[in-house]
Amino acid sequence: MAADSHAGESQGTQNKRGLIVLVILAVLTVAEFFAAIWFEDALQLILLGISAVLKALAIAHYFMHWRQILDHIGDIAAGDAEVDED
Amino acid sequence: MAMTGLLHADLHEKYGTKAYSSLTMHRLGLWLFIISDAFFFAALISSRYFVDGTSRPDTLIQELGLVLTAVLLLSSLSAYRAEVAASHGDTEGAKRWILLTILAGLVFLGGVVFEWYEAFHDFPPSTGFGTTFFTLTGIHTTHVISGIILLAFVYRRAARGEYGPDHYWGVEGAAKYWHFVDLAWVFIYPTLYLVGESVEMGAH
Repeated sequence: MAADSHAGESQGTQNKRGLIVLVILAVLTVAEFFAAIWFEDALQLILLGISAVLKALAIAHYFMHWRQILDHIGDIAAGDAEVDED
Repeated sequence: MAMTGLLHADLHEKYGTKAYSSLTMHRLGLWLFIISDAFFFAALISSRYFVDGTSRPDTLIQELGLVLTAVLLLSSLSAYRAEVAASHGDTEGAKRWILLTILAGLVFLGGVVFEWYEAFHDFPPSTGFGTTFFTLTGIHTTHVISGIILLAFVYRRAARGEYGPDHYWGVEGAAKYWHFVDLAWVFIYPTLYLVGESVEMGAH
């Protein structure tokens, strides 16, 4: 189900991954806070944009399991999707 | 379920379609909603640059934005842990993490209320920046409130023992929605609090 993309992994392993992702998000958040202070104009905008996209990708990939839905769509297209039996 | 089965059978007979599992459909539906909502947020975020360029008022409390971001990121971890716990049949753990996510959401709301109180004096909605600030944070806050309500429903169902390692879509769906609320803020935070140079902006 939800943890399909990491099926078979222990709760501890998944929790540890969550913590690592949080640390990465925290580091990027602090980095963008200082990037806003130290840099100006286009460079500032680019750095903040890159940081936001990286954070969004981390959330979408590790927390939201966005690949799951691509797998579902792929399965439906290939005719291999799980079918309700009731 | 009998009616659903009948519908699926009819569809299969009429169109030759397959009755995909309800989990697949739930996930597809939620992701379609998330993508459509993301476009809405993208439009609002772009309006900030269109209406007011990259300037921001010097009275904006950047540190508060940072704290709000930290709270929301922490709540995303607790939502993730709730989902992981539910997927392992750890109902007590799932309940605990859902509750923590709700609490973090309430703290975030408290921060926004404080920010609004200050902002009404410093850059009211009648100003250019105020328009985008109150619209963006207002729409985002409605998402936070709906997420909290959703999580409260899921907590109630978890307390009744309605989830197990093979059926916990409620927890998964609510957690995914909460992550999306966090993801939207990831773009709102720099857009409102960080981008550009601060300028003196008195209330008009």
